[in-house]
Amino acid sequence: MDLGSMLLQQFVNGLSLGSIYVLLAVGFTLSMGVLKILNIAHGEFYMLGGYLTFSLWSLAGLGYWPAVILTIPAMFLVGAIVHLVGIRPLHGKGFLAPILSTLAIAFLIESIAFLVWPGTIRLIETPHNAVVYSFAGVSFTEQRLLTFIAAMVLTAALYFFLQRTKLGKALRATSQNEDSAELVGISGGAMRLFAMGLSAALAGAAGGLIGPLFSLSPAMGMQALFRALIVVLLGGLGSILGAVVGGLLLGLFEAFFGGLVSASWTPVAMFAMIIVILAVRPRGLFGREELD
Amino acid sequence: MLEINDLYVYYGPMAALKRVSISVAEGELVTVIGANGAGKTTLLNTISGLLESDRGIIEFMGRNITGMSAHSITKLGIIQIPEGRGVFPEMTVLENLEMGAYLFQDRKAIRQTLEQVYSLFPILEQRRRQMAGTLSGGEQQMLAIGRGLMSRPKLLLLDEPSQGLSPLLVQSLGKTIEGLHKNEGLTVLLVEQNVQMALEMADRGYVLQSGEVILEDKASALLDNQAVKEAYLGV
Amino acid sequence: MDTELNLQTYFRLGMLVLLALAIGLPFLLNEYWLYLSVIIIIYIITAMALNVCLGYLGLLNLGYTAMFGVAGYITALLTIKAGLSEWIGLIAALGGVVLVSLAIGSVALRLKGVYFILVMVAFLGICGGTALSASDITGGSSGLGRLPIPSIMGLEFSTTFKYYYLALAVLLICLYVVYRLVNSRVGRAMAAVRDNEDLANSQGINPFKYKMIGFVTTGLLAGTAGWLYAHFLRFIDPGIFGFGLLFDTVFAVLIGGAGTLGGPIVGSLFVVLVPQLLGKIPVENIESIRYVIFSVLLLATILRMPQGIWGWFKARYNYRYKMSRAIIMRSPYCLLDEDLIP
Repeated sequence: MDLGSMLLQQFVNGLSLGSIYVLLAVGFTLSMGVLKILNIAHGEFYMLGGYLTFSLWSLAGLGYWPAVILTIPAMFLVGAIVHLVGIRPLHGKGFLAPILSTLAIAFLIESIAFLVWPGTIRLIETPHNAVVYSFAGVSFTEQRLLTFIAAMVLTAALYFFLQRTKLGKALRATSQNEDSAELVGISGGAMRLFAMGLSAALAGAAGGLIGPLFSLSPAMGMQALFRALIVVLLGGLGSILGAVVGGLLLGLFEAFFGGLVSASWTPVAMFAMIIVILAVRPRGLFGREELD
Repeated sequence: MLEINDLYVYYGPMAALKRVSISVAEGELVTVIGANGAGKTTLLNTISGLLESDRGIIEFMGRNITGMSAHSITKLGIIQIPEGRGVFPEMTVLENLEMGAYLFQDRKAIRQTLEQVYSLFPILEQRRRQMAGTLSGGEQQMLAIGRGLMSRPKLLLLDEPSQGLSPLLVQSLGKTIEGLHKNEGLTVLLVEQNVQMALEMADRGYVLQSGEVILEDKASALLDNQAVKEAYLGV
Repeated sequence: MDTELNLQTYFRLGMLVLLALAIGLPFLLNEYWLYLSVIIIIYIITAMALNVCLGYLGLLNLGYTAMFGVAGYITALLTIKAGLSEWIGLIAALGGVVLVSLAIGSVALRLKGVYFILVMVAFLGICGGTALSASDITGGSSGLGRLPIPSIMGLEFSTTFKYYYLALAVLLICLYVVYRLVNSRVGRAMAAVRDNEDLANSQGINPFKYKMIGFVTTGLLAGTAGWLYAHFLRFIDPGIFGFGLLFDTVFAVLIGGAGTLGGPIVGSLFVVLVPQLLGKIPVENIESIRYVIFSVLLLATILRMPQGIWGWFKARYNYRYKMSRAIIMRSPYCLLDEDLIP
């Protein structure tokens, strides 16, 4: 394979990976924006979504796509419960307390996952994995294409939801000025609950979508969290378009770096990227909002 | 319409409001004046439900609203135009105004109110597609009032609407508020540092100092009051 | 007045008893429990390290275990590959940790809330990833082994019994250092920064300087623990940079009581001893279940008892300890020299 098609191959891989990061990040930026917290458990929602889709597909015998679709409301529920149990009680109790709570919740979810799906790595086999397209010396499975499309469609749907619907605007209003939102009759508590559920649903969808592409493991939650954080830093907090650009860029970076330089050093490179970005621009590349 | 009795609000060990009793009858324009830090914003935020009181009762149209959540109080028709405008910076002017009508469904009625707001503040119609955060201070203030009007207030709470505005704007703002009060019969509780303007518009006034009400009288009487003149009117 | 004095005397007496117990302990325990005791001591020092950042400064430093690992690797590399003495290893490890703390602190401490947490976690990830990937130097996932046993003037701490006393001595030194730090002007400045950074700034306290002091102290303590660990187990691997140690120590600090001297001690005892109890239960997977249980306990602590066990104890018996909620609730906290119970 010559360099050209190798690059192109990584490009394609990077895009499908990146599209999932976009989905992961928009959910994350939603919870950060409305709830004003760092939800350390966000990656765990992603992991749960993946395993949930897997379980629905393998145990309940559902088709892959129905499994993904079912995962979304299920994860919404999970997010809502987490919010009610672990975050709502700490509302207004300072900056650290809710974050520590999400830390505890993250470990809780991860340790339960280790119990329920011990060690072994799961992979979802879909018929789409078998269909391969070839183009200009680059080949990709139909699955990758569909994943990319699905992730982008969900992201677009979220964008329109936030921009065009009353509830979506209410969410945006709450994230921009909590007090003013209350003053026009928007219940901050309801918005926070909904935002948490929605962000969990999106993360879960991302997890479900990655199932056929990469193996699932209970530890994937934390890695996902880091990626979401990087994307949000790259693209700016609260910006969906920024998340799209950031997510795709990160996916491409990971594909290129991992494929062409070294797979094992990729995480280190990404961590270094976080530190460098924050050293140079303490509010992230496009940051306007400050968190605390 | 609004009855506040013996209100106490504490920030930690400090009392921000002490034994505050204020009443606003329907159709009145009542003003609360006082220096910075006297507790005026705390008062309005407590009425609006953004802050919790530690003691005392707030009643609105005979109903006890003490401790109610802010959005529920908004539902009752108590609308606050907060200090510092409080617009949604990354939403358009039009979206901001629409947010004011969040609690309503009747599209026609909303449209009508919107037209009324536009006629009151034509510049808002001009800039309706602009991001609220890019507006000037005066425009944001108009937007905030417009948004408040979209909520069809029964009681309008204004927190220092003149702050940061040029004297010209302050005058036109004053006329607008007066107009709403006299022509539409809107009940207003106006908190102001611009004592002259506030007392000229108001029916009655309260003077707040260090969290306590130290004077209460007809606005005209307060204007003549020696203590008021010395402390606040620079006489 | 009387009750206060009584309480103080009781407490001082209690401390002496505990000290005597600690010194006499090795004679009472078997090898297994002695081993655990050393581990407990190492945990205590590590938890104390986090406590300086989290409890006294209010910074959620989730990357501090990196210093633990960095110190461990420095001493391992110097003693194994360069054949130097373990005491040089100690000095180099601590020096290295200070340098690293200064470096990463100069970036991280300028950042607000969330971003600080982020950088520290990224830093931990970098250290872990490097330890794993730079396998030529660090031995990769197999780690480095056969570190030398420390010895002073010919006396080798070759048995757990002897190592216990080494660890205990180090612990007492660390306790003393932290106690003096917290009760000094520096400590008070740190508390002021924690409670209200802007207010502290306006009072002439430079937040960055005091954050850095606390940050480096955290690193030093963690590094000390790392050195002890490396020479006790005579082995170090990248797992040290993982979430296991991090979670355990965060848990220890929070359940013990952040911002108190006794908290890390209580918490570490809990973290090490409770799994022993659990281990008696004949259930499969008890190790994984232990994480579930601990996570639930941690959540419950944050929700219901944020002052931790020791904090709760302080609040009950020390009426001068006006605070009944811990640092993480962002409330004023009155410092130790006013307290009867540290």
